[in-house]
Amino acid sequence: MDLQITYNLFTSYYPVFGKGLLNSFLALVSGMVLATALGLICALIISRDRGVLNRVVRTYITIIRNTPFLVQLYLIYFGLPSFGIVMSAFETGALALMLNSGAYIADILKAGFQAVEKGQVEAAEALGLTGFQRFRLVVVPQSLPQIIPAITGQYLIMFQDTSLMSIIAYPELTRSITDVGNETYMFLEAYIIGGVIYLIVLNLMEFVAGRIEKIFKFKIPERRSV
Amino acid sequence: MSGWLSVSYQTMRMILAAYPLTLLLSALALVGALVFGFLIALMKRSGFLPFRIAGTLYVNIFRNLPYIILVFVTFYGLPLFFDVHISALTVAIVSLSLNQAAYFGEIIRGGLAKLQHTQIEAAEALALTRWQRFRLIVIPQVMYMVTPSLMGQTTQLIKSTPVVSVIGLKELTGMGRAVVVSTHQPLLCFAWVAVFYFITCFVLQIIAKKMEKINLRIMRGART
Repeated sequence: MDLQITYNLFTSYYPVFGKGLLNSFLALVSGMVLATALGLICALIISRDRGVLNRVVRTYITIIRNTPFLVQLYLIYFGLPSFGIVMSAFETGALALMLNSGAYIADILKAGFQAVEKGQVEAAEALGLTGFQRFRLVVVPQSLPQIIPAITGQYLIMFQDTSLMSIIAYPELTRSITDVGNETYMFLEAYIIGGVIYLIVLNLMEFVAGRIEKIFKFKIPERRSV
Repeated sequence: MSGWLSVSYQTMRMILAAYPLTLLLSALALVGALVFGFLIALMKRSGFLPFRIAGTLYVNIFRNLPYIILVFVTFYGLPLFFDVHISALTVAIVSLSLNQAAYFGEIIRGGLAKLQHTQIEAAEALALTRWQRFRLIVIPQVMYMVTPSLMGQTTQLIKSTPVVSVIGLKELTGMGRAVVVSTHQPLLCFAWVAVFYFITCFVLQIIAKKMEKINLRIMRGART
């Protein structure tokens, strides 16, 4: 472990790290979109439906929350081919991210929607807003201050989860670090560089998330007693 | 059908054999994370600025570093400082403790913040020494308050353990991969692996929820 050697390793291999980071982001963004969509659907089902569908979604969330992401990844990657479905490493990773984070996001959204005061929805009903209008104009804006911090936190966790996609040979950052290590036999140096890259990127993302939170953090005016 | 059942049973038996290792690894890492976590929490609340900075830095680094990177850094880095023949289990326990200590530290810090100051003053009035105050007053009360959250975090710890299979440790997931090679039944195999994790985490979570309810009741009772 020598700083000069580590620096030289970085300067000679930074295109490899860059490409890996780009692939990590690609996985993150596709996972984000899919997981948010799935989470929203699940949250709506839980808060609206009172039948079988509700129970199915709840079971799905319980199963996902109590099993490790890596095992879910293995189940999809090694298990789905038994049904004749063969997917690339990227597709597997995106699907696993969707199923995993979707469950957490569903819980976040559900809690956010439930935190909106009942009187607000009733008032919207009294004004004759349709169901979708009530949701879009009353429930969502008021639950955003609570939802945004939790959901950005989940996105950060998701970015860390993409590192596990290296195990199924998706060429993201961790995989490119391993490749550099295999090529140069400087494993420790390579992993330390990778760790620093992850730290910088995640801290930047945290900073941006903080800024976004501030935009959405508005104070609901206190209710005045008549 | 009976053929499938017997294969399923055999798979379960083979994977069950790795379950103790996962539990041992989790338990030892839990002890490490608790001790480290308490240190981090005390550092973050200390009056000495360098300690506070070090504590904050520690939490930031180990919360933002993907666990798999930490496993590899420990795997290749630990032998430089200690013995060359360091076992994969040691690497796993050390890395897991370091990683989880950041989360445990934050939870314990919350507990320390909730501890009423009058408790310390009463202990001082009883002329307990600093160490006695810490051992007899602070630790029991804080641990009591934070146990439900710590148990939730422990399920997180258990869910991080599969990652250590990348350094060749045959815990549940590592064993799962090994069993797949011989049985060629990946779905069945990893389904059993998932079942074992599910049972462990689910039970822990139920206990945590029960304890939280009891805690709330006691707190409410204490106030009135």
